[in-house]
Amino acid sequence: MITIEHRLHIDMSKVNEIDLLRYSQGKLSSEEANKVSKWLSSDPKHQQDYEAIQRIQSAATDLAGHRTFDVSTEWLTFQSKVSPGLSDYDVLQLVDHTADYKTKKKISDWAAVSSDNASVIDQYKSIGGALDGIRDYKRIDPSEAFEAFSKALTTVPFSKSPKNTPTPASPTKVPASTPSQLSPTGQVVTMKPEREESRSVFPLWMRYAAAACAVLLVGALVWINQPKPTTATLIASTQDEFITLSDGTEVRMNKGSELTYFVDVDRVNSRDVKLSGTGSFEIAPMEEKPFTVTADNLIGITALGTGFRVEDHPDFDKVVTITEGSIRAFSVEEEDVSIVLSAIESAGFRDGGFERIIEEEEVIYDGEPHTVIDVLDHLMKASSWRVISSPYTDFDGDATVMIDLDRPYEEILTILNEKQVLSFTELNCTGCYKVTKFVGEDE
Amino acid sequence: MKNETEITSANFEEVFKAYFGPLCNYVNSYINNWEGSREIVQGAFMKIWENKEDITITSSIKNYLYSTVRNRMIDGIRTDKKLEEYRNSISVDALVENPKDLDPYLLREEILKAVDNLKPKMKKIFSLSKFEGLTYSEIASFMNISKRAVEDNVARSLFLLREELKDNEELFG
Repeated sequence: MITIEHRLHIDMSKVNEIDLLRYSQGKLSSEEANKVSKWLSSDPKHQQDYEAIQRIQSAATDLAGHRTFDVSTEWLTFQSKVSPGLSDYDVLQLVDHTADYKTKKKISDWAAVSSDNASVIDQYKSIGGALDGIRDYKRIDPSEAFEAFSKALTTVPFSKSPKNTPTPASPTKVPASTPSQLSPTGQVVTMKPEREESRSVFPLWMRYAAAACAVLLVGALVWINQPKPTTATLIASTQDEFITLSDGTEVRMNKGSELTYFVDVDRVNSRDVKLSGTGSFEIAPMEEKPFTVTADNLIGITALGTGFRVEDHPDFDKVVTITEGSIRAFSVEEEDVSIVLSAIESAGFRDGGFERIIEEEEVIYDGEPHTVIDVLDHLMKASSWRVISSPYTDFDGDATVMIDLDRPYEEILTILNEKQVLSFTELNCTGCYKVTKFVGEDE
Repeated sequence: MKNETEITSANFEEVFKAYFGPLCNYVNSYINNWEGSREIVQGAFMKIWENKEDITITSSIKNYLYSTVRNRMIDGIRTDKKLEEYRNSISVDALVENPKDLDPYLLREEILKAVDNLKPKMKKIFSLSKFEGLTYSEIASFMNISKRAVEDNVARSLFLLREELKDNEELFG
């Protein structure tokens, strides 16, 4: 590149740059050339200017013949000459680890041409490495895995719209305080009453005279139009269902049962639920709000911080068994007909009255013979994987036990423990247990 | 999934479904017990679910899950009676200091999905070669085609697989 590093000192009244240019090209007449020659020799700076102009002219001449190139295209051309590219067969040998020296060099040279090529080779190598171990890879259905995971959770993770048709599932717990979070296993119907909105408009002339009445009237209207608490109904259509109500009360419903409850119990004066079928309750303490269960519109049970079970029975209309604390059970038709029960009493209701049921302590071991391994398999599936066991090698694979597998899995655990077949410990989720080979108290 | 750095209620299912299989296979490659592997991975996801609001992921979801599951596996091998039999056969120190990478397992999962998209004949040949372990000669004999045709099909399958997976930066780092 030519740079002019000084200012031109041409006296334009005598010689101009065009004259100088033509002078350098020999295109001036003798007289004009003499004039320029005298000008050049009159001052060394003039000579410098002339030389600068000559350099510019020379560069301009060079540029006229200059050609530009698309370097990207040239680079690709160069690459194709350096390495003609890989065939699918070359790649196959790379992945199969069967490439000979010549092929390996070809691949290596091709990869060295550019980072893109190197990236391609790295990707094929990664794929090859993954394929090497793919025969040991087990494909797990992600949807099935996620469904099993969801059931194992104590709370349901997502918001889904209410389902009107039940889906087959295993027991899950549903937090009742969030009606939009519904069990994917049971049917929960959230019923919201229509909200009535009203406005009061008072004529201007009444504003001062009826101000107090207006305030009272608005206040009354606001009270009347408070959004009514919502209720929800859980139907254990095909499996047992667990639910935690907003006050912390835990309910387990047997398959085929239905529970209607207040979603937001903080907005009611009493905790009233309706049960149809069989349900077990662990009532959260709340002294100011008694908890009342109405069972199939036959009996009511009022409890404070207790645990009890309400169920059908072949000999009674309903049976109530207390597991903790005490309750008062009464006839819905005639509340004076009632009974107070304490743990661990039971009472049956029939013919309009209650009778205490005295259970024999003897445990009845009914059922069919099953191997312990089969029973463990059943426990895990029936509990929707809430029951986990140590490796099967801990158990005697040939041992059998008489057990009715139709019993609730927790009952099965209790019976097998009493039979000294297994021990179990509670885990940190409702209905979760870890099963091990029987360990006596002395061990 | 690569650009996400948060596990929320909204994306939890997607994250679970994307990583559960590869993570189980990763764990099983150490303990060789599918039931135990599922428990470890499921337990990890449960913990993540319970604490998702408090989790801060500084790298990527993939790395976070990998660390969580690996740590859970290490703890499980060390303390869980159920995994006692593995305590002697697995060097926990080696597992801690020189762990296997998760990427091959993620890649295997994606390869299996991509293979499903191959044309039936190509899929069959590729599966017999890579999943069943048959040689090209054996496949040629089985399918009554030339060995060269088998090689061409497998080579072409590799090309198509790479084409399908190449833009997934999470697989290739």
